Amino acid sequence: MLKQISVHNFKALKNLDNVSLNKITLIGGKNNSGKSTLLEALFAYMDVKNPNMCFQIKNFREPKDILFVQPDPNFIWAPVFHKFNLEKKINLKIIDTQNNITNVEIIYNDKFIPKHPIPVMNGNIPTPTIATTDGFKALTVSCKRNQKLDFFAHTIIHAGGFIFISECDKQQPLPSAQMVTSTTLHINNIPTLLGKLDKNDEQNKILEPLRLFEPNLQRFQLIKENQQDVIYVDLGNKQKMPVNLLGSGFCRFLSIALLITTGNVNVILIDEIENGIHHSLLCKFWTFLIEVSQSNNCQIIATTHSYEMIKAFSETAQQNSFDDIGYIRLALNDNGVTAYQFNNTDISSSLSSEFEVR
Amino acid sequence: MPPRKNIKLEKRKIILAEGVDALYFFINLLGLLQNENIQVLDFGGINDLTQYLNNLTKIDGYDKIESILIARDSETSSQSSSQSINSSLRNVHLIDETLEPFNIQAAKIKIGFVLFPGYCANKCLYEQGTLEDLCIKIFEEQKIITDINSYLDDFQKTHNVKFKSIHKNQLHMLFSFTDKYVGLKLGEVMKAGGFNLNSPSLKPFVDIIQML
Repeated sequence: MLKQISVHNFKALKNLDNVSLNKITLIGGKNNSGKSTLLEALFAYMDVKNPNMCFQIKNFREPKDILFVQPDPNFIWAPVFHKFNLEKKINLKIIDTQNNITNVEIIYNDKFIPKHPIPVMNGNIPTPTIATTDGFKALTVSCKRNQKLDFFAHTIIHAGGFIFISECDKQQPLPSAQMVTSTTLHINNIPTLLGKLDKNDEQNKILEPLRLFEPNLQRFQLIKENQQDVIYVDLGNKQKMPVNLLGSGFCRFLSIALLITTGNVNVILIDEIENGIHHSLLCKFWTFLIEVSQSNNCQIIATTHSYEMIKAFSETAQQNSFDDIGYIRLALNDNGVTAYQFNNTDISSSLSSEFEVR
Repeated sequence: MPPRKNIKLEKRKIILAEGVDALYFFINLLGLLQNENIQVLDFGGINDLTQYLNNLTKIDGYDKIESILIARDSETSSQSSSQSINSSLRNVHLIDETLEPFNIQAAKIKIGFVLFPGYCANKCLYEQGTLEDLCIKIFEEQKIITDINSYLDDFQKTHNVKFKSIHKNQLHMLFSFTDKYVGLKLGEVMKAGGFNLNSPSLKPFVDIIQML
């Protein structure tokens, strides 16, 4: 589990040090205070070995197919650097609950000279290519765990495309993460997870919490349509209906429930967790998340704008005697973004004092 | 359920008052002083002060705060009330050295605290008392207070009772013996001009507000 993160020169976050994370952490703050960016920084750490990590992050806010992406550093890499400044390296420092310290560095080099010739495809034949004296435009990513190099790789722009060169990968596992935003996790991702749950005859695990949203829910069923699995839902009527007809709030919660209950991820990052959930369901929603995050050892880190969501989060944790929660209020002030951290006592007393905590 | 207030720090100077009566006392005192630069907040009871200060440092606008004044009752001992406030301030790193009542510590954030009922005529801090005691002292020059005290003494003897918070009985009788203030709360009486702003008893409070 992740215990702490420090972020330097990553998107809106110039210097954000020692932000504590809990089993369930809620992040609040005004618009453009860096809430989603903090989720993206966490995602960047967990996805650091993926050559498309920068693209993935860009994709959370501006979905595009990678095949149509321009191989231009200012388009593909600069957006993850603070103020689009490719000259300042990105640093992420993460401490986990075993006190392992992982340092991630992301550096742009516009004159990168590879140690060895780069093999590129010339027709069907891989041909070694030597760098020009000017060098290549490259993004270098390094990852050190407890000061020992674990991963070191470059993504190079060459001949209108990208080439990935890994110099070191000691295969140290990183936690697996899934980002849930309004755009990233849509209906296409769900069938595989539902199939996994069905295989173990465990669909009941998600039916009860989902009945909060749709009391008539009987079962889900995967049906093949045009070579693709499509989820249908049985509401006790004559005819089953495609699940997406139940609305985005229901599908989003189905996605979250499936991700956690299938044990598919170690950390789930949810942007604007309140989306699509009626305020009267919030306490039951948190009760479910607290139970499944414990039983499936899944850490949940989410952003919110909702006062009701924060209140329900704090009250439900207290009712369930669940202490491992935190609330972070991010604020943009003269020194950049600052994180104000609340434990559950701080949250509940701030709410009783009627403070504006968002 | 009453609508929530979602309190924000809107001004750079704040007074943290103990309880609703002190809250409205200061709000209305500031109104009469035509001071619009200070926000007054109710920190609840004295046992809540440390947590309240801790939470205050985390909400929007705290980074712009220039001065904080804390106001509470001396209750049974002004000394232990002073110690308690100092302890709370130290816990949230707002002071390093011990702070005396009615003084302002000049630091990044100016910090001070006041204790009700404040100072007596010979400039000594009252060893005990409350906001209600201060209000009564503001009226002290009037004969009516002597009559009320005399009546309350007789009443307690005749009925063999002892009022736990005699200052509250005194104050409510004081208001009830007027046409203008009967039925009003302490802060409302302040707003209605019931307390003499030039009273020597009120002066230390007015002075420290002006020092913020």
